[in-house]
Amino acid sequence: MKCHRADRGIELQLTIEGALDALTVHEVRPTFDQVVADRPRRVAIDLNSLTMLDSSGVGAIVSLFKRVKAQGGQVVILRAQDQPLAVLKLLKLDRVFGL
Amino acid sequence: MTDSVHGSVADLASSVQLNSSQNLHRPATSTMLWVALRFPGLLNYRPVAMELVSCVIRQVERADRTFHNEMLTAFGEAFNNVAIHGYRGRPDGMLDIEAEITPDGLTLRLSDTGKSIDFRVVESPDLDALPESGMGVFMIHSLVEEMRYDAGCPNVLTLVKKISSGGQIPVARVG
Repeated sequence: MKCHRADRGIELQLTIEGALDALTVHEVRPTFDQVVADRPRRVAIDLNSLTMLDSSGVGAIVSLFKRVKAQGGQVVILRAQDQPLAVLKLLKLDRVFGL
Repeated sequence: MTDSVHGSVADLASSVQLNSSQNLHRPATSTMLWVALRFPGLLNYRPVAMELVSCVIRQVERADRTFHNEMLTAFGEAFNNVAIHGYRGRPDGMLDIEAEITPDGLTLRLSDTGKSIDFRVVESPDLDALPESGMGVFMIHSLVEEMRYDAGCPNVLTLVKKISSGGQIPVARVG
């Protein structure tokens, strides 16, 4: 699993690749924590290269969403597909993240 | 990143045992393929377990991508439950997996000797409240036609997914 961060003006983009699951979720938490600390106005999470998402990974993304939103920011998910998209829809998160 | 911490998938695969001769469950006469796998019940083994179970699911005739993803997702959540809750603090725990392919679909049986999970007290999450945990059992319920859990030694979780259900996500039956 890899997580890249790119700052683009008022938007901060996170790109997550590979599997975000119970085994790897601890690897993204420091990045997510730093994102929250930077108080971005908008966070876009690109999941085009995410191949597997489980409930632990969803929990980390939802935690990020709640914290950014509490600061007045916005979190959207871009280009989710296949298994990760199905999981997000199953948990009714597609509308929350603008999918 | 993960491999550097936990060893390569190839290394992990070498620790996996194929139980072709140890019949843990007598397959039905309609069984087209029966496979048994044994893994240490640790999260480190999740990638190789997912890969091998994915290979088994792909052997199901007429299984489409949706069927594959839903069964693999359900299995992954079940694996997490065993590794995180059942075998918490027990690095020696083993997880036995039996896969039985029939003309109707696929049955997975996961057996472990860890702490039993009382599914009766697992409540359906309030999705509108955006929960950050407690979604795994709900997901399993939602993604398979039948889920049975027999607590004991071993605990046996049975997941049944029928081929006709591919492409549909049934309403959750947690409760």
